[in-house]
Amino acid sequence: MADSGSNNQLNPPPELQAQILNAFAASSRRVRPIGSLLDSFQNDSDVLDANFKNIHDLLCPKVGCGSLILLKGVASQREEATIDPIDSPVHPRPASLPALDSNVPTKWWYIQGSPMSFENIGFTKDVGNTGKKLLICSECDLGPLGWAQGNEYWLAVDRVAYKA
Amino acid sequence: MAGSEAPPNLKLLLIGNSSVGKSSLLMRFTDAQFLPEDESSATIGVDFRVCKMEIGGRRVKLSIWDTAGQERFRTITSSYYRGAQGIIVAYDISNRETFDALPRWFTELDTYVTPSVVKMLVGNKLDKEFSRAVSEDEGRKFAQRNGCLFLEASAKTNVGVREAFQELVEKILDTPELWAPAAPRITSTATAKPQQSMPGSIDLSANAQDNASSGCSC
Repeated sequence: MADSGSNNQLNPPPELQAQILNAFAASSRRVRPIGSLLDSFQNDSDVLDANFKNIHDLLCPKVGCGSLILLKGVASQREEATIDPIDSPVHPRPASLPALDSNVPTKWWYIQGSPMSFENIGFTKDVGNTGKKLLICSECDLGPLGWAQGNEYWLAVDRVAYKA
Repeated sequence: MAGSEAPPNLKLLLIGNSSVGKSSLLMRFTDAQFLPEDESSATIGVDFRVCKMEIGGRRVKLSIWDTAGQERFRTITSSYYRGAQGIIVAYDISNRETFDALPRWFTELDTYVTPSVVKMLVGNKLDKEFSRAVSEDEGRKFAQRNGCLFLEASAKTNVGVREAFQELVEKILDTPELWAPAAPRITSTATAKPQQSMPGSIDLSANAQDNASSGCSC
């Protein structure tokens, strides 16, 4: 592997250098899956099967990331109150993620079992003393996409993308 | 679903002094093609990541733990090491102190992990070649003396990072006693989880039986 750091003075600025390196490396990498947000479906129920399971693979919603979070059929949809710590000051909601209305129940993809039920996911440290963790993309850190407690996990249906 | 058997779950730990770029190493091992933006960085800190990876046509799932800050809480140290199959010890090539601290980290490894656990020393370049304080040769020799793999990697540009993780995982897969016996050790009683040893933690030891049995998730 070529050493990028040995002739710094001749190289373009680090940002550009990183872009070039990445572009170069990208050619040998997998194609990032493209997902659709829930908004793009005619009905919210278009993402469900008869048992309320997800019929699409769930992806990180960030354009250019699209990390595979969960395989289809692993989660089931539930409506529950929006849980307090999800957009807490310890991890403010980035502008690219939709706000959750705490006055109405939120739709969640609910998963129970091992964290290894996920394909790719990141867990934050505990939020205060709540025993809850926030779920973030394991590749780009975008989040909170949901939260976790014990062996239960909730992904906000509006904060994931659906693989076509 | 692919119709293949469930991929083995492997636990990897990242250790080393703070500020050697452990977290960025962890992020860059994935094939993400961009750096994270500030807006998406968690001030709360990442506990661990689950990452699926394909090594030589073989799928594995990794849980990767960054022990940053935990070194101060000696009582929970052993639970972090428990069940780990691979350990990445990182230092910063431009910071001599982080290299000089390595013997202490390896002493800790001798205490907490079995000799068969695969270790890799990673000299993190952080793109500061011009201020190098530890030569590559020095790093390599230290790694040889301590029986571990070695790689210099740039956590910023991704160069070498993925290769480092792949090499480590391949070595683990080539060491069956590390992961094959893991399943029987795990009891299926949901109540017997070692959670009190790591307050508020998510129990990864429940993995094996969950994954092994659920090709279909009904």
